[in-house]
Amino acid sequence: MEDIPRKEAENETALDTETVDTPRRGFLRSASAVTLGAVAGMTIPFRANMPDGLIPAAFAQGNPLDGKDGLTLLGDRPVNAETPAHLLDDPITPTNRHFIRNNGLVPENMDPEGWTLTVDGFVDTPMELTIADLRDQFEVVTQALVLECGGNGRAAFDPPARGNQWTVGAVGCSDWTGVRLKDVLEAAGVQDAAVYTAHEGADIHLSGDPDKFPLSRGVPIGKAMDPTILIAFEMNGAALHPMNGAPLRLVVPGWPGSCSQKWLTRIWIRDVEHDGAKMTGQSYRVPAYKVAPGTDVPNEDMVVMEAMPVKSLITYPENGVATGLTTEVRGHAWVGDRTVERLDVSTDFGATWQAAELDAPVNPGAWQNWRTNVTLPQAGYYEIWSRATDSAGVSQPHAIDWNPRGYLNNTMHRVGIMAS
Amino acid sequence: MSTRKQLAALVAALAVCSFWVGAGLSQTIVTDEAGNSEEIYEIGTFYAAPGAQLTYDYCTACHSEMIIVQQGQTRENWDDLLVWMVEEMGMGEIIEEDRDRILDYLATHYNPDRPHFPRN
Repeated sequence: MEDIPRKEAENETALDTETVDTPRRGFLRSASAVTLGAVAGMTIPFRANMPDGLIPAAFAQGNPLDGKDGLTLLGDRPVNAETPAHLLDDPITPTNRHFIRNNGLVPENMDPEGWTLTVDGFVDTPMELTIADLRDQFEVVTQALVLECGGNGRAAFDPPARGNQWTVGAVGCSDWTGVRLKDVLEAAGVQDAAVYTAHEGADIHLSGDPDKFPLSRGVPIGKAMDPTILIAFEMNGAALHPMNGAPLRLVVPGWPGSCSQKWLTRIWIRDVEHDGAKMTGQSYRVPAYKVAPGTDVPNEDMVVMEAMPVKSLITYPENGVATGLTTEVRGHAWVGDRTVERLDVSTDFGATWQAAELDAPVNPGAWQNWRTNVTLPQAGYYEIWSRATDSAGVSQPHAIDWNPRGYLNNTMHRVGIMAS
Repeated sequence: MSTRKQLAALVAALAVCSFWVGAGLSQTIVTDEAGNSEEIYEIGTFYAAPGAQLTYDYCTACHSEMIIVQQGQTRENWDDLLVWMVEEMGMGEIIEEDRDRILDYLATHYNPDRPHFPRN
């Protein structure tokens, strides 16, 4: 933003400077006005009347957690919210318990009528498809798919990594209905030169600059052909929640959530690794080698994150509650591009482990539910730890594999209980 | 300015207040141990200390302060972040004197020791 609009807005104000205003607040007013103008796609004739510090309705869009239940709000602009572990107890995550991760402002228009998806770039037949076209021209499927923010668990990083300080709840596994990305790409005819997808959405950059994308990521073309990936228009049998990408989004299970573009408007097939917003630099990247906590890693040594590592969550009992000496313990386990083969639980700080009953995923890309009963020797404080092991023999670690931006924390989940 | 105009402005201000959620027009002066003072009128969830209002006003033009209060960064990292905000994220140039005060505030209150980390 340039200086000019700031000064403009300081010229005339409804609230006289001498009474309640300060020069600084004119700055605020102008910044919001410029951003709001971009949101609305037009000027704001009455912007001089806008109260200082008022968050324009187009930003605030009502209660950011409307339609959600029990989520912890990490931020309100952009809206980011996670779900406490015990509220993720359902085998399939209800919409009101699915986390929200935004990089920008939610689009003003999320009307499915007239929404179009463009598929272009290195394809034989570029397409522009309405949601009705997608439903009519491709097989519609419903799959339970796990979505997890690449930064889930960042709050435990020491030294702290910048970004939203997610604890454990930026994960969910809802039923998603849509068409396979693969089917759409095959219809468009992906050319041999194709290397990467590039996803674009209708959300708005925080600065209000219409030429900037808040986020535009992609996946290698081979991954894009994974039949579990959906272009989804329903979540748990209903329209998508506005904060979860209504009316159309990608769902790329098991990869960082940022691959699953919300408010999807375009899939552009490129002949190079996509270099859109938050593809480059340090975003959604980890060092190519192990680093000591706190290490500064140059951009050229950072590589794009792909499949998410094996992980588990204890959703019952809730952390900090009183239990009997025998209690059920249950939760979920998941891993990107593999399956979870076993789930072990410890009540003695990892000295001994017992295997839990572990379900197969209901479909590829879903998380796996597990349960067991633990019996404790005497009254007191215990920690229940869960440790998943995947089909490549990789288990969850105790300690964080520290990286500069705080990604991929898949350490064992711990829940404290008072047993008596 | 005439009394009438002042009254009109006050009425307008009061009308505006009713639309604010959790924000009042009350102003307080905060002073730190070094004797620095700042008038605070609206800082959201920021820790009230000199520099809070200035930082709030610059940053919340684009995003909520809620993302800031979660962070624990060194002064050097905060400096890099401001460079990135201006170069990449569309933030306007920051007046040098303001920039120092913002960095002082962030590095003092949102450093790696996380003295004001929000607890849920």
